[in-house]
Amino acid sequence: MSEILLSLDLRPILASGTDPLTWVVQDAGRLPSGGRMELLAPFNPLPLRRVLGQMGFSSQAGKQNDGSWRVLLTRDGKGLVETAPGPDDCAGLPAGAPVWLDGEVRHIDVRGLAMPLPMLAILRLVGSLAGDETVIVHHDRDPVFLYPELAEIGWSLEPCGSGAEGELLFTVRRG
Amino acid sequence: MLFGDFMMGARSRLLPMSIPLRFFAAAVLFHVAAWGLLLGYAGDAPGFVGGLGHLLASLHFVTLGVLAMTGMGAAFQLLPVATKRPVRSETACKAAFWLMLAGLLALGHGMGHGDVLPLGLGGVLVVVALALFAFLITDNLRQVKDMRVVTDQAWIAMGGLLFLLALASLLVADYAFGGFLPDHRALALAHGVVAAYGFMGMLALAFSFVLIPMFCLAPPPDVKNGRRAGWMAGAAVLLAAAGLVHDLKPVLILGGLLGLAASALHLWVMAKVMKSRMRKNLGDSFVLIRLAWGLMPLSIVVGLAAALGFAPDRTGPLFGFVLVFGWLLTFLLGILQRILPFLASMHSVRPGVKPALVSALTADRPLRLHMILHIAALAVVSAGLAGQWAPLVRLGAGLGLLGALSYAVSAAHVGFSLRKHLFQQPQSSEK
Repeated sequence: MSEILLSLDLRPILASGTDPLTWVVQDAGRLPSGGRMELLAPFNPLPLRRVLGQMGFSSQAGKQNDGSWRVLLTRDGKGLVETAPGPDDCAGLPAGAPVWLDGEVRHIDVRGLAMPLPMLAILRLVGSLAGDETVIVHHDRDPVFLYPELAEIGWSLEPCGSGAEGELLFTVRRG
Repeated sequence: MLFGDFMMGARSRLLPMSIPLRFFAAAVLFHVAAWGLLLGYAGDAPGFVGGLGHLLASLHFVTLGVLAMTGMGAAFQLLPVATKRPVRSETACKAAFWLMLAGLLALGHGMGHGDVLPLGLGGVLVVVALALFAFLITDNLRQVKDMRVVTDQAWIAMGGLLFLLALASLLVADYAFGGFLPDHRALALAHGVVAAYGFMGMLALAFSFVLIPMFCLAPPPDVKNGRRAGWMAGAAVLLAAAGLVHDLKPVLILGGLLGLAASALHLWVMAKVMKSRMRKNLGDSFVLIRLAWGLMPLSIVVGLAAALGFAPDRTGPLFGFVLVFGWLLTFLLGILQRILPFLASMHSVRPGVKPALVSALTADRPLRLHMILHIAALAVVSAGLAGQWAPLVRLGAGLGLLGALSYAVSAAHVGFSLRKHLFQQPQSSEK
């Protein structure tokens, strides 16, 4: 097994509210074929792993004792993403779309998921909420098919901002 | 890039509502006309082996008027959303519609009355409309790297479309220029197989991979087996068409068997989707969709029986009916009754305004009535064709016509309800 050429700790960057996607993709792009890298994150960064999978990185993720996640990536051209969702990785949601709390607001990141998994993940999350919580959805497209589905169950979706690399943010709330 | 600009870009992939809706409205009317023609000329149906006449016009009103029209409207609307690339030109979409509508009316008149001039003119207009559609769709598919299962089948469907347009042009030219084809009937049969299985059937398979998981809220289908089913179906169509054109029965049968295997694989993939679905109550639309799934392999079995010479006077017309009115039309009506209110609701989304509810846009009673009448019509007409009894065909066609009218009422309900919803909402400005 070859040595790890690059190690990136995403925790402080994510804590500052910055999306590390561009930065990671740029650094990962410099790795040679067969090269290995590791990422440390507060959750299993599946959307990022899928993006890196499209660049030919296979990845394996495991939860550490301190609650953080360590992802090992190898540029083997296969792009396999081994998914083993843990309790902090929204177990029960399809394809493990990451969900996290930022203060009072719950976030879900469905970027990189194949259709209709984003819709499924969002509907399941919304269905599991008891009160009048607000959810911020991190998406890579305007989810036009989701509006009717949410309206039918008494929820609404509205755009609320955009991030780097085509990221779109939406607010989902009851009513 | 400003957020507003980005959102406008994202939304611009959704064509104006008037474009898909005009295709769907035309499909609803051609649906009524197709059953009406079958009712009017039911006496010709038992033992029908093709040739000019109102039955041929009825068949083309279903294939081109209902299936192709809906396929075009749905592809223009849904494909850009799925591929994240806008259609190249809205004007071209509108042009494809008007060419198709005018061409189909002329073609239907020419076929019905055996009049070569409108037949030729209508044929040319329809070929141009479908070629324009093929160009717009392949242009959109060209740069898509993911969604291989959908794009594979859409590519095969586009190949089938070009093949069928070539065959259709030859058939129309043969009528117009005095019969230069050595075997017009064999080519007409090959044209029918390529049109029904190679173009419309493949388009139905491609749409299934996007729409079925979305409607029943299930994870995406098995890509590997989905692609396999698509390529097997494509090869089956080629073999069957070659067998028909060159009168090679073993090749035709091999094509049929491969087609059966492809349909079994596709249904297995769909069954896995249905099993993992989140939405348990799927409503009447899925009664039609499930019935159509059963009729898909049944149509191949009946076609094989006709090819092997088992009572061809009965199995031949039955094959055409089960294939076109059975598998393809039933599947499409199941999809359309679900997608029409859904798309209308999608288009009612405005900033700060609640979208129209799908349940409020759906007319349950007319749709239930249509479902019952459509299934009854399939059974009664099939029995009439198998028993070569015209009154039974007429009765079945009458039930089908009533069902089509009921369906038209439900489609009109979508339009009126959406209009009412949009007028009731206050005008709002972009946030």
